[in-house]
Amino acid sequence: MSPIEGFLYGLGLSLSPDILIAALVAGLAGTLIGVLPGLGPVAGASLLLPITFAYEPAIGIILIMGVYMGAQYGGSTTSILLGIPGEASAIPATFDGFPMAKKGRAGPALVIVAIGAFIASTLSLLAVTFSAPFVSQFATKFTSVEFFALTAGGLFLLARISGAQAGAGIGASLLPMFVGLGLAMVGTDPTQGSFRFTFGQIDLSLGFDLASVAVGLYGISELIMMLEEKISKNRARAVKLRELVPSKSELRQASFPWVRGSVIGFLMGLLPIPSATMSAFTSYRVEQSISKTPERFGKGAVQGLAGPEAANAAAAVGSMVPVLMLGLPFSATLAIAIAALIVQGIQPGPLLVTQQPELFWTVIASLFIVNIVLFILNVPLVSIWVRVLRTPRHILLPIIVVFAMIGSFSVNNNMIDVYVMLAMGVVGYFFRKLGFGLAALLVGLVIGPLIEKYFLQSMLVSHGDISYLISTPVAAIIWIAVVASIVWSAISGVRKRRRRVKDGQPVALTTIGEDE
Amino acid sequence: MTSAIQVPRSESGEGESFDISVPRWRLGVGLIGLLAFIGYVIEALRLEPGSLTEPGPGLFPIIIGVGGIVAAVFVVIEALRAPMTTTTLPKGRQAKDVIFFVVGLLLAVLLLPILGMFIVAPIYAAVTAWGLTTKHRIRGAIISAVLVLGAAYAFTEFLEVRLPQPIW
Repeated sequence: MSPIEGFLYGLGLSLSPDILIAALVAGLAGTLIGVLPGLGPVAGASLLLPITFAYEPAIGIILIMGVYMGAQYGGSTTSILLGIPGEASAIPATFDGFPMAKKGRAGPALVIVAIGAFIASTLSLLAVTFSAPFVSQFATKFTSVEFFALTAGGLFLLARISGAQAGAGIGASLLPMFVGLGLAMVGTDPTQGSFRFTFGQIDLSLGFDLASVAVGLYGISELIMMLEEKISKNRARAVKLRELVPSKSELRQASFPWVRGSVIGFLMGLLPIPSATMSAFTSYRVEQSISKTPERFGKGAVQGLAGPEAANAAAAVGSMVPVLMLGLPFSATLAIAIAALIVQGIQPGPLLVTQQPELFWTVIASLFIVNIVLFILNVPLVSIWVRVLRTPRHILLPIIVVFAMIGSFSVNNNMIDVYVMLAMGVVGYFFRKLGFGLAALLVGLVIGPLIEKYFLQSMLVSHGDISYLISTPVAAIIWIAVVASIVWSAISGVRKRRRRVKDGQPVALTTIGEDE
Repeated sequence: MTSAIQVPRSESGEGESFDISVPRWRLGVGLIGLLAFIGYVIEALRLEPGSLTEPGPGLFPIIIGVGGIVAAVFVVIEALRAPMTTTTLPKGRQAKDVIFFVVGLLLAVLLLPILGMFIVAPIYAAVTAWGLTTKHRIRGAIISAVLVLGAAYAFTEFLEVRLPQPIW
């Protein structure tokens, strides 16, 4: 099946009422989650996870990915209207989107984001469609050695890049990763079926559930953080439909940044990094550096809004390549997407395209439908999102908590998942406060069993020869990248410390891409 | 709403807060992590490790546990060597809100298996809404209670999700 035939086949399957409704619900829920304070795409997707178990796998992954894509858009809405980013990837949208809103151009800014996200997601989907058979063919040659390097090395790189506050050191980024891996070992052992770390509690035999851990780490801890802030007196101004149309000049200024942002986002989506956030920042830098009027950036430059927003939308779609074709999630939300498939007995990977083409192409075509749904609905519904933004905190907060409790309990109909959610909320709060990364913990929890599986397979094949783990070019390159990241961070850490000592400056409090 | 760039509250002027030493708290986390991973390795050693040629269920957890110990030691060393930086904890009204929220959530979770979702959820929502605001408290409490009841009903009826039931 050629890529075009595959896509059309998937489109045919996707045009069923169930999948169209799922795309609609996911797009709307994702945007709502992006707009709402206290719920990011990770917590939102994990709340939806238990619901996906009741439906076919295609619907499950569409719900999760729809939330991911919708949340990117919803996050930008608050960036533009309030100057408060709904998600980490929407931070660059505050730089020029909010100044545009202050100049009375909020409507055009929202439309520029919507058109940019649509173009970027479409281009990215085309790239996924045409590259899928080749990537999958290439990946079928991978053995447990390459997969071990991709899972373990990729997780390590993710922990180093998105792990902790800048300047926090290697320990602060690796500790959460090992906590995630450690929690992943709880439950039934895959080799002999014996119980590990269950301490006689039968409730723990299934291990720690991803949804409860994610909702606690990201959702509950975020709500506590929200309570620490004074209620903002900024109220989003209503945007009328007639104020939405951008001028010809604004559209012209946005056109090339949309394309550049799409390319940057797609390529970064393939990497083991918090791609939506980092591609948005990279695109902003690129636009600023090639602009003839860089002084306008930060004051309402259309390019500074269009490029990053296209980049984060393209990255969200591009990151589906490692998920569907290698079975590797490089962000917390994608880890949840993988979990939605694994629970249904589907192991994403290079064989998915050939062995389950109907699922693969349905998912690709459905993402296209989600994209159209988001484009059609979000702009006309902007006044509703503004109204959502005005919902008082004291009403919103208990509703989110009750949703979180229902979501956690319904996974296994077991109270232990609700207790885990609560405990993880406290852990997440202190980890955030102290600058420890959360993404590596969650991704570690999901891919920990995979890392163990590939490690054990490699050891069985090689009769216990450790050097076998770097015996192929792909594995060697990945491990070289891991070592390079350690060396580089050590060198830059020493440099920064020297500079700080010289200048007497404090450490910057930055955490990259925690929301993805 | 999460922002990836955390601005110290004292600079942003948002909310009342007091400073705590990040290196000192990280040292505490590192030590707790160290103890936890030592316990983890001890527990892992009780499982059959097998060998590299024939790995048993304990082999990989031992590797993870040792990795965790190394990471925790790094956290401790880095905390001891780190320059003084601070983060904030809330005080005043914000601290009261946080404590009210956490204690309320804890009580709700504890009562959930006894009273069930349809009793706990509206009571929790009403009390939380009432406690987190000073204006229109009764109206907020009623709206919250009704909304969560509606949501719980929708989950059971339309999504066929099972909720915690009362013990009777």
